[in-house]
Amino acid sequence: MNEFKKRIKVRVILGGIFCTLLLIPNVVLNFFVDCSDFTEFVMGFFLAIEAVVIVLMAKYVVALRNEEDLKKLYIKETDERRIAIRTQAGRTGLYIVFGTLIIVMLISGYFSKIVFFTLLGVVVFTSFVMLLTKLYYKKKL
Amino acid sequence: MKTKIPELRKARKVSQEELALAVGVTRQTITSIEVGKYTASLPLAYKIAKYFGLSIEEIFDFSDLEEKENE
Repeated sequence: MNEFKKRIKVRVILGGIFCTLLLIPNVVLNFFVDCSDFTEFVMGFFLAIEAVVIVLMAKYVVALRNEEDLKKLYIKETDERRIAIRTQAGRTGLYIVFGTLIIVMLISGYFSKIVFFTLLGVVVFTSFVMLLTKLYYKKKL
Repeated sequence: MKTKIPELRKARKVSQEELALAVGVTRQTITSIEVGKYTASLPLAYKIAKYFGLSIEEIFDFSDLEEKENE
């Protein structure tokens, strides 16, 4: 449990650093750049991400103060069925996204060169990442 | 996979929540194992067996697996 406690503390620290770093572009955009609709959209996007991180950090801080909550969080995070669901859903989702990308890429080839090559880049990059992770887990397991 | 967990729990008056907490999983995992939707890993099966003071074979029914192998 101590190891898990340390992990949660690291997450809280990283969350704090992440929020601080994310604030910088927002301040720069807000005070030093003329705000267009797009920059306002980007700022809103940053703020939404920060809000999610802050909620997670609050959850971790509460768990760190109470042993019972910490144990519940530990069980929730290490529950083997949840891990199996996450793994299965991730794999299925990835195959669906990959298949859709290939189909859209092939269709877009008839209409736009830029879209075709952009999607081709994404497909190549995704395949590369999939291959690397497969090789990593083949060695690890 | 069929299990004797519900019977054992009832006999010892243990709730799913209590068993889940004792073996370090969520209540939903115990439910899924009991209804046969999810097969417990070897470490979890061992923990459950240890909790009830029985062997893994006494709790989990492997006859389905043997039947499949014989087919």
